[in-house]
Amino acid sequence: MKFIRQEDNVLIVTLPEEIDHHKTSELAEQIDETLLNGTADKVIFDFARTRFMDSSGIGLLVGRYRKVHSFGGQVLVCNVTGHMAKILQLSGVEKFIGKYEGTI
Amino acid sequence: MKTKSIQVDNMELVNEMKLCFQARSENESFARVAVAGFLTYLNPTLEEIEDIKTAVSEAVTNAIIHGYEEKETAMVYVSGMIYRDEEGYLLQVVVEDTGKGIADIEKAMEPMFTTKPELERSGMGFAFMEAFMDDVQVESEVLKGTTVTLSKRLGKYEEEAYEG
Repeated sequence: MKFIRQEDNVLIVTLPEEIDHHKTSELAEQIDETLLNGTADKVIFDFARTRFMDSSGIGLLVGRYRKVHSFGGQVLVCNVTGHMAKILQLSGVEKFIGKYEGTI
Repeated sequence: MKTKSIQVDNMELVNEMKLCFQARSENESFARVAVAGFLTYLNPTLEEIEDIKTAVSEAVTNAIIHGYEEKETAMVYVSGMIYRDEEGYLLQVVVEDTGKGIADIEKAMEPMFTTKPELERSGMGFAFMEAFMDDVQVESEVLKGTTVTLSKRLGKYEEEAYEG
């Protein structure tokens, strides 16, 4: 299954079931490569499949936010529920990473 | 060494387990799933399991990337204890490494502080452990290693109700 797809200027990242340090290093690399070679200026992280996340997920989001923000782009999250919502709220990233309310 | 704010001296130790595994990032998931499995028979809530899994994941990840700096043949030790008293059950998880140790524990526990920004560590590890557990104790000695003790009270369960 492809985790990253682009629609117009939007990069949609389907996050894995478990987001930890083991998973994030590879994922960050793939997203950055796509961003660098592509034309996207908006990244949407889709948590629909995600059942576990620790602070590595926050590192992943903040790292991408820094890169995308540096060229005026935007990072959004969607389908955030339960434990993942609690983690995003605790980390404070909600202040600069908004929610995407549409369907993807 | 700080005194433990959660005292288990007057509690009865009812179950115990020990794990020991290589400091590989693949084992982060093994460790948290094993701890969750250990307490399944107490029928914890989904929220309790998620909180505990996240805290264990943080402590084990710290041991792997900070304690051992990803030297994969080093070993991480995780033990789990379940205590009981009249108020109910308490889970204690001890995550131990014999790695490089932490020079300044207070600094290490500050939210957003990280020694590895290049690895995109958020610096939220200890903050999450503290948010998701009732008590977090850290003991460390430079070049000797670090021991993190995580404690959480579980809801009051009737153990008998789940025996058969």
